[in-house]
Amino acid sequence: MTSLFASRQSTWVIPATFLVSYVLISFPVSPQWRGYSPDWVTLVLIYWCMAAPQRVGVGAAWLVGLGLDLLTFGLVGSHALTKTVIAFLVGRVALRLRAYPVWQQTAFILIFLVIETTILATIEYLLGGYWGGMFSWKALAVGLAVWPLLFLVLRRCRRWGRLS
Amino acid sequence: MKLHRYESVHALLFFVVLSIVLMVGHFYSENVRQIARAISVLSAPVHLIAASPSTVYRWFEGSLDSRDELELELAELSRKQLVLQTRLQQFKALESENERLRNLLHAGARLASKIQLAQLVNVNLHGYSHTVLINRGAADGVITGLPVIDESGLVGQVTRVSSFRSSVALVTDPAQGVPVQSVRTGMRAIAFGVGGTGKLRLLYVDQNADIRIGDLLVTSGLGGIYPSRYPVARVSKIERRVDQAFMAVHAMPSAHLNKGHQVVLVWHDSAESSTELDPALPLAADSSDD
Repeated sequence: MTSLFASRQSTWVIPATFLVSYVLISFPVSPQWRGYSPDWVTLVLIYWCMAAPQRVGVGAAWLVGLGLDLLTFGLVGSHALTKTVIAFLVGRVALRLRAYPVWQQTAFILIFLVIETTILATIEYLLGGYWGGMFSWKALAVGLAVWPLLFLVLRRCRRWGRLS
Repeated sequence: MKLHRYESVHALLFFVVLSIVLMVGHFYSENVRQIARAISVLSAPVHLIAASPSTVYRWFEGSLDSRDELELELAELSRKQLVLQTRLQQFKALESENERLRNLLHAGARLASKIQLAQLVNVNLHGYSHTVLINRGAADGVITGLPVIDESGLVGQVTRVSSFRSSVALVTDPAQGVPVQSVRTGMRAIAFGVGGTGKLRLLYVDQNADIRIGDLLVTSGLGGIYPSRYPVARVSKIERRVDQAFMAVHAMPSAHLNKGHQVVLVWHDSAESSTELDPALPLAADSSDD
């Protein structure tokens, strides 16, 4: 399936969506709403790990996470770690996830986001010595709410790029 | 297509270990930080795109002002300039007098040696909601721990530096503690950020300490990170609880943390200000009540 139609595929769609997610996550938010800004990068990563697991795996996720760490001036390696773990977990259930309806996927997304937030909060606690709430649970809820819409948009991107 | 193709445990372990090594390296090693500083330059285009709507908006806002409005603003600014100039004359006289007295006491000069203006880059640093980005970096001589102020008070300190950008943790960040001193009484405490509320909390204030709502808190210079005597916050709420050793004191930051888009970086001699401590005497002679 890769050889015959390879020339017609637009693989660049995947990095392009990640770039857009970087812009979205850096988009300025007024201070009182900052806690609600979801992690767009994780959501996009979950989509590609689910829809194109042969292209976006653990290694790509690590690179994407590293990019996010540099972008947010955070601790280098922290998002790289969580994105790697998420890519691995999504990869395990990718085929099942694809068969589920969107609302059922959302339940899985909740689990992935909770795992990521827990790891980040733990790293913060180990280094800073406090449970800061910097990684907000409100953002998690917003992330869940936007998943169905994001799923539709990214599916359109994937079909447009003729990616399996 | 087999399922296990996508779930290589070895790859996961490799990247997890690599990430942990990176984190530890970034936390402890200056070399790793330098590499991260160099690569962070790549994030500039993304920040530029993310900040562009607000940049365009600000430009439009400026260009749509009418001539009358601009003239009014100019008049207001000239008036302010005159007032400030007049006060600066007094300040210069005071400065030389202060220097003379300090020389008599064999104490070193204490004023900040160098300042530089910086613009806020209007982007969201995800996960660090009490951190802002400024458009100065290692190339401008910015180092970690540099204090940042605005026209009305202390903004925070530089936490991470890249070549042309650095991130500033605001005083409202729960990880930030600022050693402060009350102007009225000279009482010392540490002000910590509370997080979401945009307020500060004073720690280790004794139950019978003399503190009132409206008291101005300035940096004490202890700890050597912040130079002394910059306004930090005003006391806004005091709770005395019988069952606790310390009072719960809340304060509102003096700096315009949410509004301003220009800040000032202050280079000061930290060694001097940390060794040279004044006795805990009232700082202000003009307090009417004592």
